[in-house]
Amino acid sequence: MKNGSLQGNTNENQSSISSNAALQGAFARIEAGSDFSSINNQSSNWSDSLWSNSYSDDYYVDN
Amino acid sequence: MGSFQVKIVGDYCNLRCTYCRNRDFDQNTKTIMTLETLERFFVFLNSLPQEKIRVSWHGGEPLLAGKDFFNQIIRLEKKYSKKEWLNSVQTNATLIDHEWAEFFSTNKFSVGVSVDGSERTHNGARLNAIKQGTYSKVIQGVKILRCHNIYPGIICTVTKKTFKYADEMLHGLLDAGFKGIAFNAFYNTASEGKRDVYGLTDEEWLCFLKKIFETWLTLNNPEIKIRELDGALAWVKSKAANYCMYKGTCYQWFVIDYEGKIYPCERLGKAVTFGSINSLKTFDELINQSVFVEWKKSIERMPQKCQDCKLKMLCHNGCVSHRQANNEGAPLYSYCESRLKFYDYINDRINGRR
Repeated sequence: MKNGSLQGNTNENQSSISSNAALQGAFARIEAGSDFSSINNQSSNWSDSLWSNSYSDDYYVDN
Repeated sequence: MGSFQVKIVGDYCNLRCTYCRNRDFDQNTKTIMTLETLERFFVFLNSLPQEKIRVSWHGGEPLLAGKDFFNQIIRLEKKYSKKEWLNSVQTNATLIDHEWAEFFSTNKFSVGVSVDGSERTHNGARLNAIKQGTYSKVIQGVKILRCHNIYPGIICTVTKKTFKYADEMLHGLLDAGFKGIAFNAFYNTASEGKRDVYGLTDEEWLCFLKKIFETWLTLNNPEIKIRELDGALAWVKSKAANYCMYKGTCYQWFVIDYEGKIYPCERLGKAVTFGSINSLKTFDELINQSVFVEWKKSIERMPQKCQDCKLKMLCHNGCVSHRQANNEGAPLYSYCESRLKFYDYINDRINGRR
């Protein structure tokens, strides 16, 4: 799949967005947080995934 | 980590939200889980090998079970102390007083509150039994929680009647001091679905998401955390939010009702049941039953459209309760197109193509 990147683009609009503090904060959460995982680390094995670190409707914003 | 939603009062609720999917069920009769069933629940969970177990105390309105009931929960968690019990409660906050807040603070419950945006949009849908808006009562409860250093996250339901007020809803939540926000697209699973006036279409949900994204960018505040935006931005980084709606893991969630019956996620209603904690002795027995195995197979079956999709591994055909039968070989996620288009939209915005 194509992946967006904040690097290597000199477009003025992109530059203004890439410096957006909210966006940078979200990317920092995504890179650092246990609430996100790499697609390469997603197991298709039932027993592996049964108790993986997944959350349902009401968990993400509660903590 | 195992996670369970426990409907300790069944569908019993002090509110009558206009869109509530529980309106098919009895919301008037006071039903509370017996202490025998509560202890049976803990014995059942004690059979799990995992050390950490998350329990979301749900309803209806779970606080209607009363403080004595919640004290019994703590007593039993201490009795079965080999597990680490992680408690959360999802409440409408109208019954919160200082005693409740002190209890949640002392016992380290995380608290989620349902608020539908601004006072105006909230009061248009979240009504009490005499059809009055509940916003001021909810905010009063939230303020009490904050007095006890509990800063609840918010679940905000978006319907066909409110999606066009995206800005107003977000600003309403922010003005009320909320910074952790989750938006739920309302998709009707109640029986009169064909006449539904609340369920969002794919296009309406996309319109809402775009407006929220642009407003969030403009606000430029890294403290504002919106689940739907984080989830979509994660795709840009080739990551998946560990949220069941993106991971196809809804078979990890079990609902236990006040009588001990076991269901899949509460969004799916009561059409499928996996038996009862009163008859099943262990968790292994639950997941090895043919009814569970067949149900799991059915939700893992992907429609043809998903097979070649660029978001396949980041989406997993969305929430099972939001899927609709079609000619794709398996039910397709109703918000498939908005998910794809929103991904393209934010990707283009980040890369300066819009």
